[in-house]
Amino acid sequence: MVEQGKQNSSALIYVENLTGGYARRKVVDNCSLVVTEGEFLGIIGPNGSGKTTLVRLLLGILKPFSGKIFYRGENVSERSTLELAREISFLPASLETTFPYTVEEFVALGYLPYSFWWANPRQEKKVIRESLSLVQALELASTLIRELSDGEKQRVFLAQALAQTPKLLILDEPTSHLDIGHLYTIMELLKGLNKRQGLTVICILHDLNLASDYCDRLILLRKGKIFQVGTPEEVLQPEIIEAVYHTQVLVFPSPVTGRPHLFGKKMES
Amino acid sequence: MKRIAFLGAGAVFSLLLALSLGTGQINMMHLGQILTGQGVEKTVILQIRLPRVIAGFVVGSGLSVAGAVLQALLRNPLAESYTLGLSGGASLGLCLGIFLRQHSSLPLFAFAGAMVSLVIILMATYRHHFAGATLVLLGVALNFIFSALVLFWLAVARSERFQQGFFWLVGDLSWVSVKALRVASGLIAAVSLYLVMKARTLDALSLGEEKAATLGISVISVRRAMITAASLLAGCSVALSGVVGFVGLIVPHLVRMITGAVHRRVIPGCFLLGGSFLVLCDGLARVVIRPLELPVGVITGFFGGLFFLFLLLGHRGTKIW
Repeated sequence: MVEQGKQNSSALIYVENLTGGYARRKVVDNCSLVVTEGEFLGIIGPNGSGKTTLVRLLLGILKPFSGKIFYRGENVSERSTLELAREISFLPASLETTFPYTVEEFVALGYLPYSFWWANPRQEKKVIRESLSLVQALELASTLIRELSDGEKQRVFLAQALAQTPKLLILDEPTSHLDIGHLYTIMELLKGLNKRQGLTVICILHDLNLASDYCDRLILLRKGKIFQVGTPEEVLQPEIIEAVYHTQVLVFPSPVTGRPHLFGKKMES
Repeated sequence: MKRIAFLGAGAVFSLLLALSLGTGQINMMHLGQILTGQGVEKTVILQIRLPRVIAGFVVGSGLSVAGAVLQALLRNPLAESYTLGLSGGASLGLCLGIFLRQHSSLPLFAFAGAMVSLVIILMATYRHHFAGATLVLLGVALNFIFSALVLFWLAVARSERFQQGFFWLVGDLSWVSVKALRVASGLIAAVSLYLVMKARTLDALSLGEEKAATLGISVISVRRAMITAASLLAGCSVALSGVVGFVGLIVPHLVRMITGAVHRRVIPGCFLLGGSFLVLCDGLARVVIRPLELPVGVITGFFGGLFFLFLLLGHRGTKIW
């Protein structure tokens, strides 16, 4: 399948035998994968299985020990960070908000890869407005970041990532501390961008049922290796989950989406 | 933009006010008259007060801009111009200069001392990828080592040298050399301009290095460039006035309260407000116990500290950081 992807013109990212990590610790071990243009890809796996590290490698923040990453057929290591920033945008698990920026000023930072002193300020304003309206946060424009609730903050962070006008959006657990309302708001926003604008989305998710509902395909990591790749139906099977998460589950189709949902079996103990 | 213009007007006012303050008091309204005429007062203003006032302005500007850069770079509200061990290095350089009786080249000694700290810091960033809190701790360690050596020198120095060393160590503008002023003010202006152009990079770095990298910034090289820029600013300031404390710490906070946090406005704001602030402090230092003059560092520390305390305690609901 990997070999097919190399020839496939719709392959946005093609990763070959990627190994990487920190100092002396190997975290991602010999991973190969293909990301197709326009897909909604979920990365799942237990804590410490290498999800975030894999994403860091894909983004070029971390240099791989070995292996290659191709973006649109070009080796990522040969492209400048600025070029990549105009194509790929990243929403980390936590963002620092050191200074009292207003929402508008904060979102404007996403436009940085296009903003030079000779750039057209009107175009920048337009992109910021569009990004804010995509996440339904236009009315927050002049509010200070630190005065926002967690849910509003996450929407504004997303707007900043969108102001980068990316072709590929990578998110690291975008729903981790959101209530169920905001959680679905964010996921529906992502789904909408994916469907209507053809934005390719790669999303690390901890909630397997959420991943099942929203992702076209899932990559399941275990100890730095890709354990299983496929549709939610192919990946979320009781024996696979037990092998990776060491917990027994029942799988039933969701009454809403028809996708597999997991139910833990450890209630009585 | 309006707020920057307001700070600019404030800067012009404080420059004029400072020119008229001193042992021979001149009415500010008569400044124009005196300068177009011929008289002793004109000579006093142009030859004695003007260099000192300009020096005060660029020192204040340099320290404040450097403070703003380091606060953003290290994401630390306590960071200031001297955080990376620069004050310690400069002080030690000064003491060495005084010990060697090189009075005319003291600015050079101070600058060289600051640069020694810079080189050590940069070497550390090359060997280990130090960032944030680790860099601050490294600077603190350097400052302690250098200050210990300075204290050692003060303990064994003879009294007239002690007096001279003391003035430099608390910051003083009364011995500004015109030659050093020309070089230092040019350098401070150039580096500040560079930083205004790079202002958005500072905004991006304040989001954290990971995010900054995905916004197209080569974080490691930009960090080094910013450290070097801040050190040059602080080094030039130290060379002119000795170690004036506190300015580089509070002015960026004040400016952010006035202009908001975007560095495209914070950097020019710091240049203007920092300059005005130090010029006014120096004016005060000249008149507070007339005919004697205080070293300006005493004024910045005391009145600056009081003012800042007042702001921190009085501003209900507004968080400074």
